[in-house]
Amino acid sequence: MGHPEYKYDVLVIGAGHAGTEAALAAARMGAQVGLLTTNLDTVGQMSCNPAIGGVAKGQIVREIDALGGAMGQAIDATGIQFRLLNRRKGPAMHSPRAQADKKAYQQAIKQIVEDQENLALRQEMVEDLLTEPHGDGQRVVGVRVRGEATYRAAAVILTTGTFLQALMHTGEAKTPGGRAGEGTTAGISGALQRLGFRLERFKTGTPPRLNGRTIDYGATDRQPGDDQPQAFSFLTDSLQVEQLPCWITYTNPAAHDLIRANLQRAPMYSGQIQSNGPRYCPSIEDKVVRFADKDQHQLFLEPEGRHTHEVYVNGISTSLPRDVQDAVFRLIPGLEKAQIMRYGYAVEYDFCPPDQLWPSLETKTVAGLYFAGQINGTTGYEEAGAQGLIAGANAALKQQGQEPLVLGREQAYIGVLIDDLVTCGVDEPYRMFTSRAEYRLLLRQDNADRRLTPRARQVGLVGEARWQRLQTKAAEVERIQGLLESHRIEGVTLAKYLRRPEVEWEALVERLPELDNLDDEVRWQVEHDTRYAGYINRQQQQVDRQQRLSEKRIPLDFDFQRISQLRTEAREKLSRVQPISIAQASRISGITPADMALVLAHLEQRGRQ
Amino acid sequence: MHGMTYGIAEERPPEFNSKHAPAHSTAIPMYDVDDTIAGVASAPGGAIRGVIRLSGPGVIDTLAACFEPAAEPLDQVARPRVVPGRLQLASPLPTLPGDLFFWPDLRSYTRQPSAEFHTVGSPPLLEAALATFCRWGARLAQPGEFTMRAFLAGRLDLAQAEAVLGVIDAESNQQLQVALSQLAGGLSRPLSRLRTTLLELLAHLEAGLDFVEEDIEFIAAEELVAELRSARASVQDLADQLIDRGQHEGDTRVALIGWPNVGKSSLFNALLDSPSAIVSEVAGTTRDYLSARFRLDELEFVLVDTAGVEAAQQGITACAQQMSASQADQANLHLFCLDATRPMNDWERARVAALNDDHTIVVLTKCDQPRRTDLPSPAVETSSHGQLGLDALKQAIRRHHTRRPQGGTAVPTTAARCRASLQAAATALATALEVADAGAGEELVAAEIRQALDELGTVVGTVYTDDILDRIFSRFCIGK
Repeated sequence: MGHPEYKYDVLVIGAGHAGTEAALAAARMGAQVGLLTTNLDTVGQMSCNPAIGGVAKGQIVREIDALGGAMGQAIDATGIQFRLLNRRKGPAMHSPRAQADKKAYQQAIKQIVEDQENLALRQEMVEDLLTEPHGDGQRVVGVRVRGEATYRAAAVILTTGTFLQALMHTGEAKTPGGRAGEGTTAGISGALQRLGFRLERFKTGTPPRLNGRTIDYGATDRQPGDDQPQAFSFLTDSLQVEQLPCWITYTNPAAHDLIRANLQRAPMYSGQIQSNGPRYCPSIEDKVVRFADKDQHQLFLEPEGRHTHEVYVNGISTSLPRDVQDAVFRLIPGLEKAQIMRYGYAVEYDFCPPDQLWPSLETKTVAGLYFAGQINGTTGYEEAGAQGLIAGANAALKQQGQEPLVLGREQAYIGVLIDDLVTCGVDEPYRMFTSRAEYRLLLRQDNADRRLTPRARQVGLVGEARWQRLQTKAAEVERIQGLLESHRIEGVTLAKYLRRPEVEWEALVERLPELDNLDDEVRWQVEHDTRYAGYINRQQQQVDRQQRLSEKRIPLDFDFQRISQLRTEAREKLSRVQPISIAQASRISGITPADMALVLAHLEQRGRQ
Repeated sequence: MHGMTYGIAEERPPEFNSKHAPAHSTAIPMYDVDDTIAGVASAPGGAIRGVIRLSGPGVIDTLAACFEPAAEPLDQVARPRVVPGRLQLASPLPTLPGDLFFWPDLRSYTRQPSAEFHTVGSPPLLEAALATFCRWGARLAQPGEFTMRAFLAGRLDLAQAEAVLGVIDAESNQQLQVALSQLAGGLSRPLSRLRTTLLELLAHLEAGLDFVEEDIEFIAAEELVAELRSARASVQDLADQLIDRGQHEGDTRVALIGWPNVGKSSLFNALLDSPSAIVSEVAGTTRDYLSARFRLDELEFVLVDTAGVEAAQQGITACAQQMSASQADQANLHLFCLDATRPMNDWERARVAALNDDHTIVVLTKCDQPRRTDLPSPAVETSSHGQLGLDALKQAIRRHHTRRPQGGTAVPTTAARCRASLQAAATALATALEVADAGAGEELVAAEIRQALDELGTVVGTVYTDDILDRIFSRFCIGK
């Protein structure tokens, strides 16, 4: 009797935020999916902060939801505090964020996965990737797992997070592993190297967790949730949730002195760690060194759940030794007697520079192999989930012989994210900011469904319920927009009147009582579209131009090396990125309009032959 | 589009080579063949005929809005033909007469509706005409854009297209350098300061938008308005200065060169008929250069008097010498002056032997005095005191001018693009100020500043969003 062998259409390796969305997406589209994780108890685990959303990230969660993903519904079901950030800024900036009950969130995701048809969740340790020759290169055919078993599939999605060659640092102590208490996946790193992938190293950090029972909250500031919490999912009608507060305290010069005195014991400063970390999420060591004139830093005390006292201390990520971590808290108001439950640590891990991917997230080197999440050099649950969803959808589409789903920069933050990754690569862990999106005013959290659900419907990512909901909402939005255009106040249409910055919606309600008591989602959409109308039109024109350039496709086998007149730098960069359209090519840094003209000329010539 | 990478090399900001993933501007992408484009197609400088070329699906609409045909309306023109008429410039300018070579169908060079407007060769009028077409829906053509369209239309083969397109980077860069040094001399530094100011301002705004949970006030509302006001004033000021200088940029420059005291300044005055250059008996009085405009019939020239060419120990400052050399380099035509009352010295003999006919007219001065020159070849003989030979010299200048090659590459002057960009930047900042004043949302102010930076980017360098992130992370402790 031979070794056991299992057959699927799509295999997903890793069941974190990227892996679960990938598996769910492919399964929703009808593929038979195997989701393999090293540990069934950490499916959808929040490795770092117990929160979903935030500025730009909240918009991404809404987009994932609009594409039928799980993240929005899971956080709606398990959130313990909801806030809409940037409320005082314009609507494009409004960003939902929620604290999660970490354990409940993880279980909610696991259950959604278990409930999904066509999807098998299994605990396995993958040891090798199986490939075979295919044309000039290789194609994936499955994976081998510990215990001499084999899984066969024409598509494999790797979502291994920080677990590739992971090394954790706390002070001088080093432990192999991608998350406290867990191991590493060395076999896959080796397989990737063998297949010719470039691997590089990043580092990231996580702060200590405290026992809330030992915190003196009286010495800290209370930060409550919103009175009327807003849901993440377009399917959630309203949130009935008892919210927990977060708390804010501050570091001080005494604590900074102590950290400074122990810098030589911090791996980042002793030279023990040399890889790049994120600049927007510096360790406390970094903060006191680089911003020496600042005499305090904010610390957010965030509860990890309803049924635990564990508290996440946001703002003090560190790899200092245990004794220094203990001593620093003695000096911070409210935390003088706090007990550390888990120490902070830094983790170094391998990632695959994402310019090795097509915009579908399929690798250029091995056909049928997809990467999503932190393996691509990103950070964040939201960024990971978004990539997972797209990779899953594309694996299923390839199975069906369909064109891949590639979202434009003007369609979604997810489009911006993936285009940045595959076109420009990364040199620090990539996190989304609204400033990365040139069409920011179009990419709002309130219109994610209108932007994306129709496209999701085309490829089979969303079901009837979501589609009907969007239809109803869109019709209502249209009706209200009609009302604003057909009624006047002070000699102008209500729409025009609303464009004045000082005018509130309530003023319109006084004129036209019918506008009262609208569904929030409908009202936001109408109000925001109306207020931004001038800018939306302007950006739409830019989008239309860009669109025409995106439609100028470059064949995958186009050889840039053969354009002799092209500058060497341009030839090298274009060959490495292999852009799929003129629009993408023009975004590669250092590529000039004249370079593009030459490429266009050669494309045209090729078309004539 | 951020691919617009040329800038002033030595003033390129350090982040220019940032490896971080750039975010992308929304400026007009190159080579969108569905746009209607316009550009000056005649050679820069005071050619007798000026030509503006237009191509694109909107040519007919653009022309219908601003061109009054003398005969039948353009929409009734079915075949390529010449239509005389007048172009309606922006008031208070008069209408501009000219001939419109009009291709209403696909038989044009680019296989798009196309036109060439032929009119007088005055650079300011051509610019006004170009501005008119742009106001009515055309945009300024990018370098190589007509060529590109002709290629796409099958009018050129790949080798021909490559030959043109392959040198565009170098040429546009060089054009930009020349335009900036000639016309924006002294402005490039304030321009790059302004860009830095705007980037800083944008960084503060963006930080306030993206990092709302930090306990940092990135910029106060009053400070934002004050900064915007001052930035708008300086960009407007720069735009105005460029427009002033631009009036003269396309003129033919005629430089007087020669050994000290051969009588260049006297000739300068005689040609201009006004005693504005200092003339003295002591060799080397013209320490710097002087320039003035003069007209020959319908043509305008800039006449430049340079310091005499001489060894430094003879008392002429190195600075004036350098200036002369650069003025002479920039000139389209040299009047090489030789003193008829003495034999040539070694320097003069060497110059005469190496004469370039296309660029130089040899002029003998002081011909009313006893002649001792040993010049072997013919020359224009003049005397400033006796007003001798001046008409002959003017005729020679005219003849030379009309021999200059016509045609050209259908690229609008780089200077025109610089000015258009600055003007657009000024407009965007004015809107930013209105938006900020009205308290209508910092994301809208940021959108306007980005627009202004995109425009400035085409003049002094490129904007990457990671510039912004770099600025934020180096200044503020971001770290929730």
